[in-house]
Amino acid sequence: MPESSLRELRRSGASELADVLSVETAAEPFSAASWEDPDHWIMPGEIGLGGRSLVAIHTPGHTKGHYVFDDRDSGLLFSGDHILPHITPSIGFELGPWGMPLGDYVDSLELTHRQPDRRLLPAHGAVTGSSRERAAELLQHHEHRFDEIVDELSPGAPSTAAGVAEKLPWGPGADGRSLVSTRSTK
Amino acid sequence: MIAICETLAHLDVLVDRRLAVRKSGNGAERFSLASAND
Repeated sequence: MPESSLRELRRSGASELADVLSVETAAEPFSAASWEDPDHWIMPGEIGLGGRSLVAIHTPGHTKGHYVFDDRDSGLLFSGDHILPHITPSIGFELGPWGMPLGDYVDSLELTHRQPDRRLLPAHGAVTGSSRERAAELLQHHEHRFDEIVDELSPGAPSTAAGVAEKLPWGPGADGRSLVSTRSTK
Repeated sequence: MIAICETLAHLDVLVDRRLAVRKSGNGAERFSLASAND
């Protein structure tokens, strides 16, 4: 795990968890030299694939470089991990520094919601009927979570992000376990 | 860890929307619902 991610955890008030992960990281060092560069970088715009044409749309959020692919002729959206039918993609979990991943994700959902409706072909789960409808559901989901967090930020009760997370119904403390003991499952 | 990262991601947006204020304290970032100018 990069030092930048450990810094983010410490910034969140999860120093104990960062310490544990730091030890685990030292045991399995990461080497960028183990990875090849891409053969070709995709840019936003039309891509010809034989007799088919897709429009590449940059949708950062789940990852910085996430793209979806719009098959206008067939009314299909290859949505990758941007829009999933039954779960929400993880946000803010990508390694390395990043400004505001959830802000980018919300912007990407709003972008998808403004696009023509498509049949959704996600990276996980079944093919579903409406890209715009699911984008709206995910936007609503995150607005609900914003409200839940705001409710925990009562005046006079400052806390760290880790402390807030432990109070939330979807957080690591929901079942009474500690942050460290839940690190691999939450 | 995912829950912490996601909570931090939500808090960053709330700070950006001026619905929460980040303060320094005790070696960690802290948050409150005080005025955005606090």
